[in-house]
Amino acid sequence: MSVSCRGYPVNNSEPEAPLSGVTEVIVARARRPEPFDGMLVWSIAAHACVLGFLLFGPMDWGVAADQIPTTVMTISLGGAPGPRETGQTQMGGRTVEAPPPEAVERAMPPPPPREVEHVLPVETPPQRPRATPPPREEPQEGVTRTETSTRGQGFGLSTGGAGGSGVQLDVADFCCPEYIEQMVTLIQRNWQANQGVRGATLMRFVITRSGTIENVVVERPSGLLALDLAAQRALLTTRLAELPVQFPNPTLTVHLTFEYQR
Amino acid sequence: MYTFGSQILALQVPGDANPFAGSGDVVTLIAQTTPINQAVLVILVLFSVASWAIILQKLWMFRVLERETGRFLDVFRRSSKFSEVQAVCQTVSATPLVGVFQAGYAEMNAQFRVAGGSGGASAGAGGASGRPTLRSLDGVDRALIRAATSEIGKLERRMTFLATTAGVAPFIGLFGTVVGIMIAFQRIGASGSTNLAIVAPGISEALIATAAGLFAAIPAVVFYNHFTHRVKELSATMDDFALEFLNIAERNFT
Repeated sequence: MSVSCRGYPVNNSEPEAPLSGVTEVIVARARRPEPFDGMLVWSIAAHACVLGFLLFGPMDWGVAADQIPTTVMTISLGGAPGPRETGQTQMGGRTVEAPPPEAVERAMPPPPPREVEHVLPVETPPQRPRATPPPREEPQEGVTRTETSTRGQGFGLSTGGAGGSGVQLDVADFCCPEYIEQMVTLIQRNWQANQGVRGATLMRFVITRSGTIENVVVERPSGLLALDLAAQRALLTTRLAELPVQFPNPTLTVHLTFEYQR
Repeated sequence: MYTFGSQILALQVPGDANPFAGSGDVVTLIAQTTPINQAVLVILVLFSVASWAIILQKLWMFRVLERETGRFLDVFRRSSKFSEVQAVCQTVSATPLVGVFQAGYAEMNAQFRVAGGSGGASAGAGGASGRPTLRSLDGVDRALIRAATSEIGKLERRMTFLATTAGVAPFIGLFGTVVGIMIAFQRIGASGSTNLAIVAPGISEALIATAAGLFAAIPAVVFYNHFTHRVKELSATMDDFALEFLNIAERNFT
């Protein structure tokens, strides 16, 4: 191996020149341009894309995908969890209505009214509430409060009292509470509540404009398949009335807890 | 004796009653934040833009550079003359080994020339009287070290900015969040309510700054470590090449 020095002129008159050769090479290489400006443009473009996506893209951050829908109404039958808010609500002028007797017959014999149950739990004959049901087909309208058996928690109105099933309604936004009442009654009619075990199944379903129940989903299973299926069956065999005209949306999503006492 | 089961019912009215509508909206969140928070966000975006520009440039540079390093070493080990290697240098000029080689080559030529000039034609560079000899191998070594240092400095250029971004951006974001939470608490105190609907949005706004700080810092940390590793590798390659160069020079020119 040998070194060729062609192209590198020997210059005796300048002894410093060869020494600066190394420095020249180093400096020349250090000054080589780097494509930084182009990359800056790319970086700005990428950030603009990200910002644009954040500003104009889907804004729900994945929250709305499967969020628990807004609760505007809570109903509990049988005096389970009470309302969360206090004060007189729209239900002040609501219909006071007893469940129809056939619902009682199909589902199960109703327990006595709650006061009776508390005072005389054993001696109460099961037929007693059926013997004296309130007038069934004539709901009474009125703004007066109705004495019920439920233990209200400082909330607007409690209705019911017949058949041992107090109804508590906490209505915030939904226009037509009577529809809900009717819905609960109809579903209860098809519901085999007496499964012999305790448990609670949270069901979700959608009521269409025409009144059919769709998209029946077990939202929180009880752990026992029989209970979930009974709740599902109750929903699938129920046919509701059309959604009230005051309600603007095409569908109504309902979350309903079926609580099996025993 | 059995009792009625109870039902608990929750109704949903889809659409306008949804409280989530708008709360995740970035535009409104940013618009509601304080000017300090907005300034923090702008600074962090600038940090992020600059650090990503550096990241992209370095990624591109290292990609080209490693390809050309392989090619240069291939040529260097196959060719029998330094001049052949020198001729190839322009085509693979991105690799730092070219800088090291050219510095060593220039130093050798300089030594030959000085020897040829002072000692007459007998030891002239490439002269007919025989092969040229190096006066000082240490001089060549020093030239190689100088070039390697310079090349490493060039490889590490702008990486300090990445390190700065990685270290400082989370703190800037944290600053924005702390200021935002201070202001949010003032607002809460002024409103006199502990309702979650009043407490939560202010804190949510304030936390955007921390998110932005992490958004800027995390890529900077990752790529800073990555590039540091690559520079270390290339530095080792350059040292290895310098030793190889010195060996060849010693074998042939002393």
